[in-house]
Amino acid sequence: MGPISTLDQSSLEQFQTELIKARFRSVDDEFQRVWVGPVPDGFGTITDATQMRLEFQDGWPFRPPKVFVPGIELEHVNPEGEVCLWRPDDPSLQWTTFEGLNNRIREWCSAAEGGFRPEDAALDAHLYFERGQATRTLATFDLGTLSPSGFSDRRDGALHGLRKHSGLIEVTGGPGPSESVPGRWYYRATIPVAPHDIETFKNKLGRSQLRDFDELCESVESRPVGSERLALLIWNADLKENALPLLLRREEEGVVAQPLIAAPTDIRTLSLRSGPDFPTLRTKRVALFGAGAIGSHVALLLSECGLGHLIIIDCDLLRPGNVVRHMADRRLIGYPKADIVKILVQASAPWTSVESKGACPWTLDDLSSLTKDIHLVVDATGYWSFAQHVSAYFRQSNVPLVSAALYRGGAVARIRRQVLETDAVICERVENPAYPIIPPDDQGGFTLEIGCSSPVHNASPAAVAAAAALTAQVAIDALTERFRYGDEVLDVFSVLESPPFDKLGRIEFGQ
Amino acid sequence: METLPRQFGDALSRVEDHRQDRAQKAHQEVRSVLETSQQLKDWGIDTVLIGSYARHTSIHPGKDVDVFSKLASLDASASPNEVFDAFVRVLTEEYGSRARPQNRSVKIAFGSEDEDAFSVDAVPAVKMGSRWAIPNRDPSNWGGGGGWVETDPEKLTELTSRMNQQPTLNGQGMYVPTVKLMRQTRNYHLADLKPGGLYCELLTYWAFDAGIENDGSFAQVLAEVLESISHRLDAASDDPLMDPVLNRPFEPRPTLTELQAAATKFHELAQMAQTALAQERCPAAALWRRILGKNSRGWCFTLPEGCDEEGRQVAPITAISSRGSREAGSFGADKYP
Repeated sequence: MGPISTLDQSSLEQFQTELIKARFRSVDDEFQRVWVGPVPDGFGTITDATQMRLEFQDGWPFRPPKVFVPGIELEHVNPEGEVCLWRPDDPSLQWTTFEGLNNRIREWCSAAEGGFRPEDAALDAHLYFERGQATRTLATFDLGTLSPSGFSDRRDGALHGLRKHSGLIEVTGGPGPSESVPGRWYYRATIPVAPHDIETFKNKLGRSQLRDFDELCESVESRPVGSERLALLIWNADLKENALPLLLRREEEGVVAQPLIAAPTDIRTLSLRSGPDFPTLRTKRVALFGAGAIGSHVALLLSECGLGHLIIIDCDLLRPGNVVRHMADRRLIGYPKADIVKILVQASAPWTSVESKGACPWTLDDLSSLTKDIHLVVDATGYWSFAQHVSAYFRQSNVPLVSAALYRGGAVARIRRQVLETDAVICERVENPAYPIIPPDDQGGFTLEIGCSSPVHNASPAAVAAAAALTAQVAIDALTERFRYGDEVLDVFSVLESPPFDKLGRIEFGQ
Repeated sequence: METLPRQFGDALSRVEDHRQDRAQKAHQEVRSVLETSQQLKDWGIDTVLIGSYARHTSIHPGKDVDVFSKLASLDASASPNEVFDAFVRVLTEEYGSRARPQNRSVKIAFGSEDEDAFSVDAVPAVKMGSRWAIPNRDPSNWGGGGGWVETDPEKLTELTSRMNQQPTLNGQGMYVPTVKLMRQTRNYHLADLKPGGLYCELLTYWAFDAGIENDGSFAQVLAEVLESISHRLDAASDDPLMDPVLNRPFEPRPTLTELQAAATKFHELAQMAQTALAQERCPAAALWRRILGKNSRGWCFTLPEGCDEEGRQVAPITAISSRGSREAGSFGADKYP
């Protein structure tokens, strides 16, 4: 340990002076990083300890000091006695005064005695288990498939784990192939405090579960050094299940339990980062024309936000030059773009059913069949003629449409909507003075590439990603029927010569 | 003039010796042990805490606690050997290996580890006129007439208390805090070199005795005391520092070399202090920081808000840190340990 890295030595010294006044002493004479002192009154009701340790972290004052108090067996206290007083990103800076520290200790103890809020549940059980701070191995599992009939108190069952290239262990219910790591899961309805070592792990088990676990341990112990077994403890913790996977390994000195980082793969967990429209979007169907740079991003974004069904239509193959702006990487060069995007969507958004169509349809029959029962069509082809064509056709057939394209080398992104009765028809906006024309580039603004007669517009990957994100926002706005965007939204990323494109930022019409 | 009152207050907190209460308790314990001896009781045993703990001038990390064991029924005609042996016997019976006889005192270990550990140094004393006498530091002299050496530590405690009455700052005497700051300054810059802490304390005593201007700041007082001490050290080889209790040159006297080295250092510190008085807040603080130095708790003189260790002004992060933020939590990595 070296000096405490801080941009505010003054407040650090002020706080340390307060520690001295409170009878704390530095046990690290060189750098004053670790201090020991009397346990504040606030902790009095939950520990008999008289001394606590306080360890400063680099990044003062924006990171709180670590607080260690021996003898507390509660949630949010790890085996080393570290009391997790603040979330890692807590913005309060409450710890910069001794009074603030004491106030937080009182709040924490009050919560500990009365029960922590559900949102404060310690779901990172591995951190509170011996050696858990250092663990870097994930154990993935889907509780739904682990026990298809569900869980009940004191039940247990077989599982197995397969080691993957990244080191993670993929845990599945039932016995597995010979190369897998066998193991058991144990379910308890309620566990107030997560286990912090093998003994407390055992204490959490029911009688028959304990026998089963002892057998599991014996089966490792009787095998050669390096043999492994898995044990997964699952319990209910307020809002959701909590779990602690352990890898039991035969070492020279006996069986060692290494906690693993629980990494559930169920839809509920995966969708936690999908945004608030996930439930609505799961009922929606979208047809996407164009699976190129913008289209591939839009497909991923809509799916990851929760889209229920996606049809991807594109007749092109992925070229080496496409990779720079496309969601796909070079390993997929040569495959149809529609199929590639389908695979990418399936890998990221398992809730989205995807169809890929290797076609570039212009016939009304094809367009009609591809958009049957569709809630929204997204045109990301970037072709003016196709946008005009589908706009005219979908006006007749009442199919909602959003069309997106980048212009002038990525200087301007334009997203046009043709969904509401009041939305101007896209193909008629050319003549509509309410929708200014993006001025053409007299210099040409494109290059050519061998093997491809279409001009290559040099829009940057950043402009593509931004345009795709805006397209997804406009599409979701329409699918959720909020309609807070106008029927034409433009983002100017690089100023053009004439208004209204001579300023950076957003321009909206038809609001 | 930038007087930085908060930082001087912090400095006093940072040099504070927290073992004062424990010293009192240890003294009471040793006293009760000594009083179990009928012989010592017959000799009129009565103990008193002396030294820097009695004068409240001890600083972190603290030194031995001195317990002066007065035997009022004995005088200098008593045999130092007999008195000391009786003294050692009582304390070693009680404390076993924790009590270790020294040349003329018994050192008793208290506490167990690091900062908790300290020693009580108990010394026997007999009457010598209106004062007291303790055994000669060299036991080989105990047989002749030089077996006892005159002393009056309680008088120094009394003089300290009297000197601390004026000047005052916010109703508190400035002398004792100034002694602590001077002892810290000496510890940091001279460490194990002589002259030691008591000599430094007496230098401060005579500086106060000569009179100092009090503008209500430790900055001004400390600068004056440093100036006074540096000149006194210059003269000390020809005009020895007087013990204000015994009215004779302080013993043991530092050597000429030691005095010259100390004078050089204190001239440098006095010059820095004068410069600090004329500086803006940040550069002034940087100078005082260098003057008072560090102890095991870190730098004694804390940095003011918006100042760095080089004395430069920096962006006032403290203003943000004092209130934190109530804005919505940002989106980011789940964990950035």
